[in-house]
Amino acid sequence: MGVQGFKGLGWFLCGVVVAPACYLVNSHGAAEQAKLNATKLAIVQAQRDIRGLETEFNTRANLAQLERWNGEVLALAAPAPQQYLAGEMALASLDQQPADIQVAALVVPSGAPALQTAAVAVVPAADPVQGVRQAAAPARSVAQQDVELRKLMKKADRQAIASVDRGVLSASTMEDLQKLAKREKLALR
Amino acid sequence: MILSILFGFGMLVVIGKLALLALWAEPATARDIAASLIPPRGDIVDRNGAPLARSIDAWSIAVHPNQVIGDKNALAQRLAELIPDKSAGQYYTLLNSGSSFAYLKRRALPELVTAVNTLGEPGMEFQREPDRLYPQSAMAAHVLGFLDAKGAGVSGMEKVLEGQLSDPARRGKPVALSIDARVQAALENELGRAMTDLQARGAAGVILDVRTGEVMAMTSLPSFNPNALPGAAPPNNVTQSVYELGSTFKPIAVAAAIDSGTITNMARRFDATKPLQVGRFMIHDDPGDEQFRWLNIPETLIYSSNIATARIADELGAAKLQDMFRRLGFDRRPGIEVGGARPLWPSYWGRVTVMTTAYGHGIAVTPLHLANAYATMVNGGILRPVTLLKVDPNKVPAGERALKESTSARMRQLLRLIVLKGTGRKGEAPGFRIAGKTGTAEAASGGGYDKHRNVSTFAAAFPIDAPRYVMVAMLDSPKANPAIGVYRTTAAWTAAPVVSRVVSRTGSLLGVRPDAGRDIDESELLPLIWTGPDPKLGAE
Repeated sequence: MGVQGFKGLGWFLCGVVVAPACYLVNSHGAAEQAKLNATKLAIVQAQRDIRGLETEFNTRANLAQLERWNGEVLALAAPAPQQYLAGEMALASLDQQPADIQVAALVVPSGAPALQTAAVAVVPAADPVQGVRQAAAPARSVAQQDVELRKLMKKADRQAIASVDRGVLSASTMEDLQKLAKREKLALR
Repeated sequence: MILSILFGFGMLVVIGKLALLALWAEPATARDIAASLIPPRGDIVDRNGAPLARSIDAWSIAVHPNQVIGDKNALAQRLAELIPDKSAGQYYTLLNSGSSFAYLKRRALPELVTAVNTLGEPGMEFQREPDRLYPQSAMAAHVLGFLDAKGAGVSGMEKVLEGQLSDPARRGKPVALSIDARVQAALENELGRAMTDLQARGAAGVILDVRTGEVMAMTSLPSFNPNALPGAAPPNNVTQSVYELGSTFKPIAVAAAIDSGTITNMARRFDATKPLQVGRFMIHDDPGDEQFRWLNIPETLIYSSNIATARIADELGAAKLQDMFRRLGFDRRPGIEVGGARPLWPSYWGRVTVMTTAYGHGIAVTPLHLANAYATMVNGGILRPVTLLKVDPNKVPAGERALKESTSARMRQLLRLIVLKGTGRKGEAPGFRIAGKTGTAEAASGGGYDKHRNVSTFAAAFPIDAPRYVMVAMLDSPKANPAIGVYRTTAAWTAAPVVSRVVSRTGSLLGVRPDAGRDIDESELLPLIWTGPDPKLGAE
């Protein structure tokens, strides 16, 4: 009989605690679903953007444009029939040079700087000071060489960039890129 | 009581609707997301998947003249500065027309949209609307065709594939054409260069796969840009224009003679010592090609002798020659998706007609007809329908036999000899084993022939020891240009070098490995070519 008396309370609890809890779970599920959909949407948006960009690239670098660049700057030509090899045998036999041909790398030009191995020559332990002196001289020349080499590389880099500036990309493309770079720089501030 | 019943009923309806929604309504978003990736019109791609036609979201700028609130005069001035398609006066008239909607610019650049937006006029509307873009601009324009203002295909494959491209169920998957964009670009580039160098009126070129009937490249010049078509599109000279293709028909006549058993011996000679008189009609050899002697079959083709070919055709007879032309499809439109012109088939086949059609005069076909005939001649004798759609290698159409296998083998040897020893020497591409025949016909004009205008054609197949492709290049009315070493307007000087250059550039892209060490065996025919004390090689 006593249990009967709690029946009303049971219904009350069900209404106040269990149903909202169920609703909570449900709404949580819906929220997750919405998040998932948003992610899916973002993926689709990204795919659409990729498609748009691909189309733009294809249009800007269409075959007629590539042909023009090739004619003006790159000057690439189709390989000649001699450049094709019949198979692995032909490829392997490419390497076999006749004996009487001297390979350039084997001929050491006179007046070339001493090989760098001098810098790491085995030094007699008895006279360490002298050893350091001996090693220092060639080391300095190596450092000098490095500096000069770096200078040369920089110069070559500058030239390469200059040539890119001049020809490979059209003036308007370069302008576009510079504008974009400026805009990005401003955005970062 | 009634009120409570009504209330209860109302509640029931609401609960029922909720239950329906809860049970059967699927989340709308998931479906929409998937659908938004499907383009409003299907893509067209080449055989390797490179896009040839795509739908994009383009900006359009429109105005609601009845909602414009600013100074219309100033606005018209600014619009004329930004969009110079119309004058300020025209914009002013438009803005005062009182209509509710008018496009100012369709397919506008984003910069222009931003600029017009900064005018701050609330009567302006900026929309994204689907638009068709051809990324390769004028490339393969005749193949692709274009759309009308409503977005329906009106020519080319856009028209042929209209149903498939606009069907929501099928448009998500791009349609692959048989065209190879790289080969197409090379063909257009080389033909365009030849056309400008030689001041030709037009040009046409086609490359066919002889095993499947696929068109690997097809171009017709002058061309157009389907992205911005100014007026009527020029015709596709490969499929829509018929030409008398001259000497390129000689191998077909010879093939008919071999196939029907009229000629069984390649050493058989025909009199080409002097022009051939038939009634009132006189058949000459072209100046420079005359041999003034009896010619055997290989020599007839190498020196491109009209007289000897006419004699062969005379012996062959009208019925057998017509039969061969019919088997090669010269009596009907080309069976390609985009349609084509009906050939000009002689109405009366008298003796003179038989003789002249054998060397390509008096019958006019499209360059595509010729290409497919050559494909049939070299591929073992099977005529296959020509197609612009990519063919599944496992579903190649069987085709129908037009020539015997043995005739095809003989024709391969003869065609190769023409390039090695005869008029087609400038058509050779090192390593690619080209075989083919030149043809120069006087252009038809005003019911007669124009002696100063040629239609120069070179029909070629490569690699001839295992034929894969046929290429036809045609130049309409080229002019000599001694500055670049072209001294004559015949096909040997104009069309043949185009084939040589295109094959050199694209042969390896098409899967043919150049090999200088391979060739077809023509040793049994070589002794038949008389190289007397002063061998005179054919110039054309």
